[in-house]
Amino acid sequence: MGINDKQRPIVKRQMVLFFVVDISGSMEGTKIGAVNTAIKEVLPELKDIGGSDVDLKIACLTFSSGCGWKDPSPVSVENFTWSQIGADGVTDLGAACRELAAKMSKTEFLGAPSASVAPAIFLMSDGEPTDDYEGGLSVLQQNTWFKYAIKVAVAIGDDANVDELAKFTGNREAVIKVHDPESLKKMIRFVSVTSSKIGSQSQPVQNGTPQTKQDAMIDKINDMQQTDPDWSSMSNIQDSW
Amino acid sequence: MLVNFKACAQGFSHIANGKPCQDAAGSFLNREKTVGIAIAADGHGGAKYFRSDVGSALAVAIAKTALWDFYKQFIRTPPIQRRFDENISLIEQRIILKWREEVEKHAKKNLWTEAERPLCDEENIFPAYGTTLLAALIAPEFWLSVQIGDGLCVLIDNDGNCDTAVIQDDEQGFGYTNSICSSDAASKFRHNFGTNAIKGITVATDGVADSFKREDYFRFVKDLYDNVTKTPKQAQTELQAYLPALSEQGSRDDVAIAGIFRMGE
Repeated sequence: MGINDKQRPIVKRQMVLFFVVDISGSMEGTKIGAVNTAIKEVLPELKDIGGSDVDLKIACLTFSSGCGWKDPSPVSVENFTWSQIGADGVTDLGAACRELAAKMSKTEFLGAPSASVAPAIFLMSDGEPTDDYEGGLSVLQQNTWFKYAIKVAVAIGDDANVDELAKFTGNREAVIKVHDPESLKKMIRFVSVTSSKIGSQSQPVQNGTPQTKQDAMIDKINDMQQTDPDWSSMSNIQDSW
Repeated sequence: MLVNFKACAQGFSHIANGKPCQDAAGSFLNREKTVGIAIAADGHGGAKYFRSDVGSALAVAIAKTALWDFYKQFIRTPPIQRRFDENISLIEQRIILKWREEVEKHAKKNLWTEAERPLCDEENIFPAYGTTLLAALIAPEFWLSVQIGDGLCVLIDNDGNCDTAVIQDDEQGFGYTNSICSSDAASKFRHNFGTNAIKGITVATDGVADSFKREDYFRFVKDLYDNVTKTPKQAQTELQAYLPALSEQGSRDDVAIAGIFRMGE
């Protein structure tokens, strides 16, 4: 065959954006409504990113009493559709962690034809884990893909346990509190788009420590919180769910 | 007799955002065309690696000298005293030291610009020039390959089968890579060698390798072998013309590939 033979397919690197969504009973009503609307509205913007440097795919894991995937495998952002989800049950975040660990591997959700870049994991929760969260998180933290992933958590409302979410992200600065539906929608858009852009860039490892993708994400979060007036005075905002 | 090739092109996304090409490639033969060296290097993207185009070019030049010197030393050494593993590790250390020396020289001659100053770390200038490196040598007596960071080194055996020439590192992929600029670079180099006859070796940055499924990439390497060994000049021109399209449709990254092939007898 010639060097530029068109029968030899060319592929893009793959990136998976994981939505991990709390659908426990306390999310019922305005909160889950805001999640539904926000994810639906952010999809066209993600399609723009998906058309450029990486083949962006989305996987959504919901958790309440147990957990489950919206689709059996990550779906290309062009084909991903969002159907309304409801809320009911408790908050089995530990089970969600174990399930995430099981699927984050080359033989499961991260088996790209050529190469995958680090995934981005976006956790949304309004409450306190009700199962063996520590055990589940410990299993997840052994997973190399998780170690290198961009991890951001949104704490929805005042009852969300920010400290527990910070254990997931590995950094308190990667946990963002939201107090109303508009802020939640804004945050879902910001985290999805920004993590996808950062995730597609290659970064060197220094002394065994992956450095800058999570750091870059945190820098973007800090910049956003300083420059956007909606975020600059979080301590005085009351919940308005 | 050996034949060599190399090609390098700016990535589609780099063209779009005005970044220079941060990959570099080189391939060299001795006068008798019995010994050949192929090298590829991928300077890191990201704002703080703002001189990685210089870093990758330096890495190619330094690796060439290091491998030539190794070969010259090798043929002077009695066979019974030849110790590949130790001596290849010395090549790697020499490359790292020389690279750091040359980076320091470059930084002294080319002070930080106004635009660079906010991004640089005065305590540690090396990341600004950070790069991966893949290098291979084929000689009548042996072949060897060394690598730090991502990218793919592929060997074609005498039966025409392709395989990766260097063990893949668990830390590669995920969008992260080891780098010659790291303080622990010496422990992150990987290498391989053999005394069996082979048809050729290619080295390529991840911009090339990540644009194919693995089995398609091996097919691409075999096609390169067929074309380069039959019509070297034409193949070189076609390859250079192909790389921009490969980047645009595939990785969008800078792309660099080099190789040494043994012509069929």
